Amino acid sequence: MRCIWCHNPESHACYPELTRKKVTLNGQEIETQKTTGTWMSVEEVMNIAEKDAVFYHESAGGVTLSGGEPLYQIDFTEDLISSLKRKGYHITIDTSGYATRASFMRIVNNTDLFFYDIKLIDDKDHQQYTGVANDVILQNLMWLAREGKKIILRFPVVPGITDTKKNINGLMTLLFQMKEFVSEIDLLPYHSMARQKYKQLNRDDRLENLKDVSREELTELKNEIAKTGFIVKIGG
Amino acid sequence: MTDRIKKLREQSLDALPYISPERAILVTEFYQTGIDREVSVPVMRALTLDYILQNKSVCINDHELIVGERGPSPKAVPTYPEICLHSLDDLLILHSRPKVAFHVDEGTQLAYMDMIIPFWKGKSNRERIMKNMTSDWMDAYHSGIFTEFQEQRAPGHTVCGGKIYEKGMLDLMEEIKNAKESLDFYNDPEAYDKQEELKAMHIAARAIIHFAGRHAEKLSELAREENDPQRKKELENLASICKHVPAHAPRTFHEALQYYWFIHLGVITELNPWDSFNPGRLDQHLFPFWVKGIRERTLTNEMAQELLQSFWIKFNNHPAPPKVGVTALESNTYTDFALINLGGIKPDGSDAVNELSYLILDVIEEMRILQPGSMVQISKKNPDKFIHRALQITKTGFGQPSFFNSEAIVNELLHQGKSMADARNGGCSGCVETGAFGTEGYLLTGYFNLPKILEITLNNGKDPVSGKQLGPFTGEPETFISFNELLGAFRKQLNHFIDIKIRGNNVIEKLFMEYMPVPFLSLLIDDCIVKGKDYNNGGARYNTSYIQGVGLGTITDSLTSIKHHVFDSKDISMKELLRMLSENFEGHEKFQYELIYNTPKYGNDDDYADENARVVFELFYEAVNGRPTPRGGIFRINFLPTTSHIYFGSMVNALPDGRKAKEPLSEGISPVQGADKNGPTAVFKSAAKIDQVRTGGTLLNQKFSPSFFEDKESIQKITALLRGYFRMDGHHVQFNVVSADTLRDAQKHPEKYRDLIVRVAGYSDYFNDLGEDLQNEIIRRTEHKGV
Repeated sequence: MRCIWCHNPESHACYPELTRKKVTLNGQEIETQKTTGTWMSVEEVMNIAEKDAVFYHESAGGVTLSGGEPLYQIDFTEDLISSLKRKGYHITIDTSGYATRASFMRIVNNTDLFFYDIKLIDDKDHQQYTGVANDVILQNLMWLAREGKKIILRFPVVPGITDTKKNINGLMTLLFQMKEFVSEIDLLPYHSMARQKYKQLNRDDRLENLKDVSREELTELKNEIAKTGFIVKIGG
Repeated sequence: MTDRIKKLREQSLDALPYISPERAILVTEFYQTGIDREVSVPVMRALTLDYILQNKSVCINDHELIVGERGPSPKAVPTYPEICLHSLDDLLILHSRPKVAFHVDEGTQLAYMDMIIPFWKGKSNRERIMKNMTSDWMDAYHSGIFTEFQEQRAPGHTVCGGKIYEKGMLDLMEEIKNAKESLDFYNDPEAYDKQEELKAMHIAARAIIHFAGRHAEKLSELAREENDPQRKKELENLASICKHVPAHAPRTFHEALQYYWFIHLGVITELNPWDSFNPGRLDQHLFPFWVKGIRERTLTNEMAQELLQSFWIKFNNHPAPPKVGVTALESNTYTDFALINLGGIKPDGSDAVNELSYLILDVIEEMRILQPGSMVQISKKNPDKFIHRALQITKTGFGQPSFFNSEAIVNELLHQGKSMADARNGGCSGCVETGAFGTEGYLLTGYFNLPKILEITLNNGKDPVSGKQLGPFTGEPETFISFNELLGAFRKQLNHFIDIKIRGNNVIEKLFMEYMPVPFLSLLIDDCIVKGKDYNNGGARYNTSYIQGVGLGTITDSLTSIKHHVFDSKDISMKELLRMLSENFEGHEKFQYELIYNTPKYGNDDDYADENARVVFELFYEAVNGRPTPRGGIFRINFLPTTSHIYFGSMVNALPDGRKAKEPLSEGISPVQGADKNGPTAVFKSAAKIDQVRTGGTLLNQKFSPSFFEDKESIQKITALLRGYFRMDGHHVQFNVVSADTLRDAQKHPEKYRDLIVRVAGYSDYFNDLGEDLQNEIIRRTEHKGV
């Protein structure tokens, strides 16, 4: 999956990548490079998660696995969340839904909450902007919902792409269908923050001229979607 | 806010701080009589206070409900020539400096020229101190290794306990009489000293009763002239209050506040003690009066609130006495560090949060003034609701209240040997200093520049800034074959300069014991009366002297840089590194970048880096903790900077953490500005790795943008953060809630931000009153946008 608006381009490759950047220090320009991504074992990740145990205890907080796509490394993800579960942490998986049903089945029991992305409802549009079809995604969503898992939907608001009338109508139809199982959707406004990252990775930013979404537009959208009876939050 | 409070608040905000020569003239007149040759030192000091209180002007401001000013009017600041004699140049600097200025009029200058300077020249305590310091001490002092608190102000650093709400001055005079009668001139070699001290306390107690009486007279006079029947009644009521307190124990909420205010004025008129004075656990002390008033229907919450607000304004009317030179640099502010404590636990260990705790939080929120400062003590026994309410105020961005850990405070005090009840009656004052309220004298003696010691170690005992050999020869660092060898050399240098500081402290403490007793303050702190000993002479039940470590983050990161680059990965030699430091990284930006961005840093929950914070902590603790002081106290450490990290930074060249020459050091136990990249949980984890319970307080600063506090959920998150840090024995955390953009705009348009208060380091200050470099530093402090 390669969403055109992706703000985490450094997580595309499944291997560590070099990034370059120029920095100014004392008026001198310096070029530096840095590796993004490292190979880690379950144990190493567990050690990091355990560092904040004292705060999880106070807030009943937990661990969120995000990406990239956590289900893309399903062996690792399965091991990690079963270790986390043994320690009693609340586990959230932030997923694009683009994974095999078999993968979902391997993690579904140990996951407490899914952040589930819904991007474009029309399959062709989905293909065009993310590079993949959305049937698997929508089927997995329905399956998860029927399994009784707690789900919060996440909808990226990308001007001219996902906020078109057609897509919003499609989204709202979907929400009406899901109402029985899911009650919250978070709107994630597109931001140009990632522009710098594309440069550092020497990759094209295909949305170079896109503006950030304004507060007013977002509020309007929020009110519209709220008509479905869903709890709608901005950000999340 | 009532109209009355609005007016008083405006008056206080608009008043121009100015030097009043009144006190200095009265003190000089009194000493000119030569009475000091006829009476003992404590009695002379008590008579001096009496003379001031009998002759100073009595100021009653329109509409106010709590009366009494230290000077002739709000923000009129007296001077204390017996402690520190200002020269005409000093006065000129105070008058004309851009920040924290004090207006000095011609009359004041003339009084100084004709009377005050000629009389006191050569006799002030400051001159007495400087004459007694060794050349080692002078060199270290002038090189920015340490500062000296008692140079321009008297020891204070104490807080009022609950005694005054139960006893009037007449009761204390009875106790003095009993103590005098039980003196044993046959067996106690100190009996005469005790007799003189007790005589002095008696005079001081009488003096404050008379002073209140003068207010009562003036109030009655004003009442007679007043046409508005309501104000007339208020004035009559105030007059009768001033006849009752402080002679007798207070009976009402109003009397309790007015009583405290009179003794506050007594303490800050007697001398200019550090941290002014402080009612401490106000919600605990006032609670019985509030309950009684509400039950008897003589008090409503609205009345209580208005009285408290009037009380608040009194503090704001009293800026810190003027400081000059190094002392001004280490603590450059009008704030006089009264810190109201709310919440925490009661002496029996139960939850101390009560209705009044919330009412006072409302007052703090509404007043939004610099003084008094406020803090909440958070115990595991306090409800989350209390934290949430306090955070609602913090989020409005004026830095109050700050958050303290009750269990840590109690454990710190128990570790120092206090009784359980005294520990639970304790709290924090000044910035973050732990004390047993009402029973302890816990003096700060000076800031100590830890990174400077490393700099001197890296130069084999020489200070590269002055070029002087200040410390012993501990070896050329190029020859060190291990990191431990460097630590060994650092330890020797540290002990050397701590010894110099402690020698100076011991002499200065003795000078205050001999020449500057404070019989009035001694009335208030137990067990001065029973012991017949002055507060400055070990009369308090507990006596502690602190040396405050500064720059823990900076020295930790500097040591880690050396360990990582020179000894572990060996990508640079010590020699090359030292050359870069001496060249202030000019032409070495690439490596400086490595030092800043690609080297483990304290504040990220990285054991490799945090280990060095522990090492420095232990060495500093070992060098200071447990040594005896002349008044029978014990030296201990704490970590806070006020504004000294800026001054100390200006005295240190480039350091191995990538910091350039003259830049500020880190403050408190906070990470180096911008070095913490893993968010607040990592900062708290790192900070908790030093054993804070063995200190007398640590300061941790966290700057958040307002968005961090937006909704209920985020308030809960911060509550969890706080609870987590406190569970790890964290002592204190303060939140700076303001966006960097706001601050930048405030720098450009100070006029638009007249009321912008920011958290500096353990206290809040007007952003406009900070120097530009300190403003820049506050802007740079990491702005965490989310947990």
